[in-house]
Amino acid sequence: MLRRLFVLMALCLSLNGQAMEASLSLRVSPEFQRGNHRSPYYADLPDSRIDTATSRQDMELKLREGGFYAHGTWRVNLAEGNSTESRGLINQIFHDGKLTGDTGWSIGRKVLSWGVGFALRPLDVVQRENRRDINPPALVGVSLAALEHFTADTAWTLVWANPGAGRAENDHKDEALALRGYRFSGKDDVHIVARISRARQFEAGIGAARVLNDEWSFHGAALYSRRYHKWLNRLAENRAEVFALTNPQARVAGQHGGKAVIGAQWTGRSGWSVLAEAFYDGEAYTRSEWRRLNALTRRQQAAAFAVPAMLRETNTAWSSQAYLNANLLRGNLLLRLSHDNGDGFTPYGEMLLTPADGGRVTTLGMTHVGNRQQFSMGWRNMGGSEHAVYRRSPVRNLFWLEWRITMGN
Amino acid sequence: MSKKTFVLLLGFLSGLAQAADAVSPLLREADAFRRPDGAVKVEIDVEQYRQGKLDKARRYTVYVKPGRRSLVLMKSPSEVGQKVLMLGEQFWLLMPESQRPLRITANQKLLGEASTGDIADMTWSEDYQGQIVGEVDCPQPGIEMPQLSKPALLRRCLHLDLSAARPGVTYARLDLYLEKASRQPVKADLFVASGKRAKEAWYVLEPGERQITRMVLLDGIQTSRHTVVYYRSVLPRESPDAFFNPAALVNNALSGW
Repeated sequence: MLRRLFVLMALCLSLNGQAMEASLSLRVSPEFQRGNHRSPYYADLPDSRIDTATSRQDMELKLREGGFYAHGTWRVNLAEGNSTESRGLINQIFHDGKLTGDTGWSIGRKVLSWGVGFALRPLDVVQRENRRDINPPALVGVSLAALEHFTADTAWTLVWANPGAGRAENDHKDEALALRGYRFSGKDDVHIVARISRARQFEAGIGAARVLNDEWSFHGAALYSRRYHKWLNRLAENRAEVFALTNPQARVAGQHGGKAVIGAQWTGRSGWSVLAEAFYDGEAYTRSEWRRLNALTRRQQAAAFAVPAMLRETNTAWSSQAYLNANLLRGNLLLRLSHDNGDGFTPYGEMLLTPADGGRVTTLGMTHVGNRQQFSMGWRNMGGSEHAVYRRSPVRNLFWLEWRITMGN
Repeated sequence: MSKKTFVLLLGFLSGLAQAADAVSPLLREADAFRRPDGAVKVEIDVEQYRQGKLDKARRYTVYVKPGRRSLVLMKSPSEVGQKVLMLGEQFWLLMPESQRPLRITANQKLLGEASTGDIADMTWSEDYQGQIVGEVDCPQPGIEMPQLSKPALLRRCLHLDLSAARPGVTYARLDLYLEKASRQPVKADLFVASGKRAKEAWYVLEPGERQITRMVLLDGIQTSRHTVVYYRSVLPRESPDAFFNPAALVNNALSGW
């Protein structure tokens, strides 16, 4: 339905003949993943291989005229040993309009990112972007209707997200009412958010950013959630069984959760920039939850001789889904160093540390922006002390490349 | 301190103040060659050259309002959707991927290929103070390039030594040359805080025009590079105040306005 609407609106606009901005881009993003064969979470399944090469090809069309904006993607996924998959998706399609001089509205599917933070944005309660993803595709917005009111130094936004969708397991599709307040004053930005939904009940948070001088800036934010959810392996939690015949991952509700981030950034005239950020994700696994999951994998390995290899490997793969979370532990520290040479070339290196268990994620990458082409590449390694959660990840190394070419008026 | 010393010191300070006072009206007259008074919309094309060959082309729309407010919309294909808002000494950046206005420092504003400050800062009188160093023959460009027509010989220029009057300006110091008769900007040497000359700017006025039509920036550090900033149109345009609220950067309605 949305796709038809997108095509129809694009056609109407092109016939309209007014000054429409249009751009077409092609992104080719191959990725190579190398497994950690010594990880207890490494599953050797023929249809879900960890040591694999994949490539995502995205053809993106963006149209803009006045308050109308549309962004669609045609995606072709190639994976070693698997058949080619293709599909179309609507990233965004919305219209921004005005009610009065200082009050506006938005309707459609729109990316709406709120708050402050680099590796974690606690106040991002509508879009909920995964900030730790590597080489991510373009964001897909949330269906919403919004009212915005601006004054010279404040802004209020009231959002009805996913109207009519009701309670959903996926936050991105959960019906909710959200309010964002923003005020800037001199060197400070202050953000407040509140969100109510049946799934999460009530969330509220506050954040701020301050520019101290030409070089230094600081930011911090915190969010309280009345209720939150996470996926836990029920075999690990209740210890009754060792193997499951169906996916034992169960969605479990938690009460009184929270997220917080605090960070500082220094940028010199030379183009060097350093970021340090500490963040807490109350929805990530606790160390005791990891201990219980580790104990389960040990029990499964001890009993492996008695069950078919496929059952053992499948159970390992289900347990390894814990590694799909954006943050694997609650307390995290990110250090990032980057350089902008002023000619479109930006190399960077970053290290994410989990002080509770000595885990470490190292990422090195670079981006080069040319006239119409953009090229980026990078490498990420999971490591740390012997029993660190990241060290036991079934994936040890990730390499990625991206080439993008954009055409448009 | 003797009475004589005190009088001399007073005279010296008074001279300095008069020199500074003399500079302000000159800068206002020079600014008139860069943009008219009041709110304007400026269409800008930027060409970046390396070893004399075109390397990159960029397009910008800049909305400028009195009170040191500027909004830069990036229009070229590889940057489309990016926006930079400047409110006095405060800066925000919007990247299209995240749709989230991000407060940035003055140094972060300078990152990237073409300094946003080179494009959006169009008034010296609000940003700089200084003194007249003297009267000299107008400088001539040391190199030949098609975009850089040589100013007529035998013109006389006022040489101004300017320093930033407030934090957050793009360059810490300027050596500015204004044609004495008209106050038309001819050349500026642009220095960063470390004292290093970052760029040399030449201002080109087509015959019969009252507005600068292009600015040629010669890179003082990477000398094989130069940038030509074309002012395609500079039109009075009273853009709404709501454009200049950081939270409004995500609002699509301001594009194409």
